[in-house]
Amino acid sequence: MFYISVLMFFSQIPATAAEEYYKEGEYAKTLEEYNKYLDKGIRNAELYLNIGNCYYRMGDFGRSLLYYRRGWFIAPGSESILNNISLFKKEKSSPNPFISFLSKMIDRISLRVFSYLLILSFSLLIIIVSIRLIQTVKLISFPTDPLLVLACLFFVFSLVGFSIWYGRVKSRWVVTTETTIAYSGPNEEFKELMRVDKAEEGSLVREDGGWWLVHFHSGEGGWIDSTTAALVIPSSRN
Amino acid sequence: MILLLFSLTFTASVDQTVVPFGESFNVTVTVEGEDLSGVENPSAPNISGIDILGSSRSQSTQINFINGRLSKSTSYIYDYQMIARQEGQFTIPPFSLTYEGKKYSTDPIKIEVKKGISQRSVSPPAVNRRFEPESGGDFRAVFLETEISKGSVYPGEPIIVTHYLYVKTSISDVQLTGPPTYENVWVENVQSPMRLDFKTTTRNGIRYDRALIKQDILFPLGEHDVQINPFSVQVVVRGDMFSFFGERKTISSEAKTIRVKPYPKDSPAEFIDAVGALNISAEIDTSNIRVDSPFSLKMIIKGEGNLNLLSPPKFPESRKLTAYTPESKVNSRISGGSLVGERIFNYLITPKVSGIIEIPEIKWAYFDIQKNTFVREKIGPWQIQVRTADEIGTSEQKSEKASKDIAYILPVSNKTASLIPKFFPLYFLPSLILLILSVYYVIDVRKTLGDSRYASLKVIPKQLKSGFRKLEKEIHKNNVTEFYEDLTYVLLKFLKLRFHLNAFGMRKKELLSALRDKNVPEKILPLLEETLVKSETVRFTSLVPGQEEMLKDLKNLREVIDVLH
Repeated sequence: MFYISVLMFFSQIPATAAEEYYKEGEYAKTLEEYNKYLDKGIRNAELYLNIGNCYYRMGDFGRSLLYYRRGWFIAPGSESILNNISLFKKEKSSPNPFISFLSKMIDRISLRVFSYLLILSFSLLIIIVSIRLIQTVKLISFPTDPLLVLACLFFVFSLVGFSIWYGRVKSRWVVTTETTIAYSGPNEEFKELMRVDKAEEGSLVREDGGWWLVHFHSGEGGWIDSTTAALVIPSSRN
Repeated sequence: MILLLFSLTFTASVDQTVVPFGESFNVTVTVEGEDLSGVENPSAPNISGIDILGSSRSQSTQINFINGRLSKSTSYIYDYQMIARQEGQFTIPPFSLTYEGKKYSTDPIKIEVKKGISQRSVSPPAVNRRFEPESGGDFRAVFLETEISKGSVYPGEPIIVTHYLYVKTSISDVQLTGPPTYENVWVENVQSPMRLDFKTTTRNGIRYDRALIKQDILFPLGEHDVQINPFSVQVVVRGDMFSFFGERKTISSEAKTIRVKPYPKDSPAEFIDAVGALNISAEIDTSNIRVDSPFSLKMIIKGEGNLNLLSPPKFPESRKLTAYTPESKVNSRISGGSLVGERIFNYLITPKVSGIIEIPEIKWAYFDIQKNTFVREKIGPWQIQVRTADEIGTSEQKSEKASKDIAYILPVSNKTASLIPKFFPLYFLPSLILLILSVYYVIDVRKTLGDSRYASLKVIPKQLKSGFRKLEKEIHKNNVTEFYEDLTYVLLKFLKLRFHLNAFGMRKKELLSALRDKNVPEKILPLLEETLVKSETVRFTSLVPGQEEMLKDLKNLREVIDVLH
């Protein structure tokens, strides 16, 4: 633990210019400082949270939510990030307590952790299956059946969590302009379906010539101009 | 009342012999002499019906040259302020003093305390004055004078106006017919004494008794000249012995005009009407509020200037905020002839939308009289977090959120966290390999168990490997007999496993025949036969081949097995 504390202490950049600017309310300058971090290839939840805070302070709520979501993808259990996202919307929970519990659990575990869980659960499953196979030709005293059930459940949970998060990473987007309009087709000549305000978010289904077919969390959908929104993980579609 | 004893003079006097009931009067005791060192303070007598409110002492020294001789005189003046408890006639007993063993006393003084005397009436010092009629020049026996601090001012710049009554004769029953009036000004009264207090002063070389009637501070409203209107008092002037009862006179002041000049032309847009030496500050009572809930922005203007006249600073237009007309409060006092204090404007503001809302910067300016220039000030901007009712939640949730709020940023580490581990699919490879191996193993075991020929073939390499290793060791140790025994065993074992022949129980010819039946290449059979014969010869005769020959025979065995395998 001491080692980890020391490591964490030295891995943190001490009182930065960005922090000073933020205290003074110079949010544009704070952003410039944080962009230097991004230019160096640094990506972590704290950085995204701080950038989100800057945009929030500047009144650019679309980009603020975009960066909070980027931080959330890395550290979905971060109370600070969850708190700030809650400034925009409250997550609806399922009336079924088991599903609600499962959903909350999945929401608190990151894609990275689910990746490791998937590797671990798959390895465990394979080991138990292998033992089970060998038991067909050699006498090995090992209770494989209950372990096999547990390993299967563990694997399914990991796979479901991984799939959900992977889907989010691939398709989650946020409206970054003041407002955008959803049409029934991929250009402005189609019927206008609804007007969508900044910081609204949803999932991307497909692209067509600079237009996105999107699903909103409300269950509705439509085509929006891709310049009015941004993918939370921009490289995810490449 | 004057007692002269050698070089010491000890006297007592009163400022008025007829005193209005309820008002105080002064008794002055003077000790005068060339050398007053060691003189003790006079002891005040007990005066029946009169209270001593307080006393003070002052000192003066006078040096004179008389007939070429220097003389010095020192005076100690003791002032006693007294008040009578009831009406009637009183006698103030003598004050006493002991100096160099001698006792000195003043004469008793009689006074009369009466009800019904006007508070504005006055008995000037009980010293007879000779009435001197008004003549040319500046000399007048009784007149009013209005003194102003400045003859020309900017709008809002304070002017001190003081009204005096000058007297050079004995007067009584002073009646103010009406207060002084002004035009185009805001008036702040500094003092209006209930009782006229005459003090000796010199004006144009003439000594007068002067009493302050009223003192005001005027703040010009706009660029109109300030008018100080005439006002009047009525007095009874007691002149010489022929006009014993006196003559009632009305005395008027002169009208005066104070020029109000316009501000310099470079007045900033944010300047409204503030004049003086001021500063502005502001505070908001919250930084976290709900939509449509009002909060307060308090602007405080402090300093010296026209605080009572200030207009509220302009609140900038904002689509996100509604600002109502501010409440105003002033806390001021007169100090050093000007108005000092603070003016507070309390704006009630309601946010119309949620999010971080900025209260814009407020610009304000005042005209600095001392520097004769405009001073610009800025306050703000401020930011408040506005949330909807749903976002705020319960108070517990609110306090819990405080430390995680957007008001805080976290230290940023220089590490990079990837969403998915690098080479993610490769992590599954070991498990897949394990699965494949397991399946292969199971298949292999099953095949081995069900097929004896397959099982035999599977063990040949292992058998050959150990057999050859053993043969090499025996060559190395030069164990000739063991070498050829093992050589025969390895060969026959190989033939048994490879061709399923009972090689150990067959004669040489039978073995060769059986191998021919198995379609073994004919060319290898002589070498095989030679190897077997050589082995039997060495084992059953006294022939002892050298190591080179054993190596050659081992080579032959390898060649046979390589061809037959």
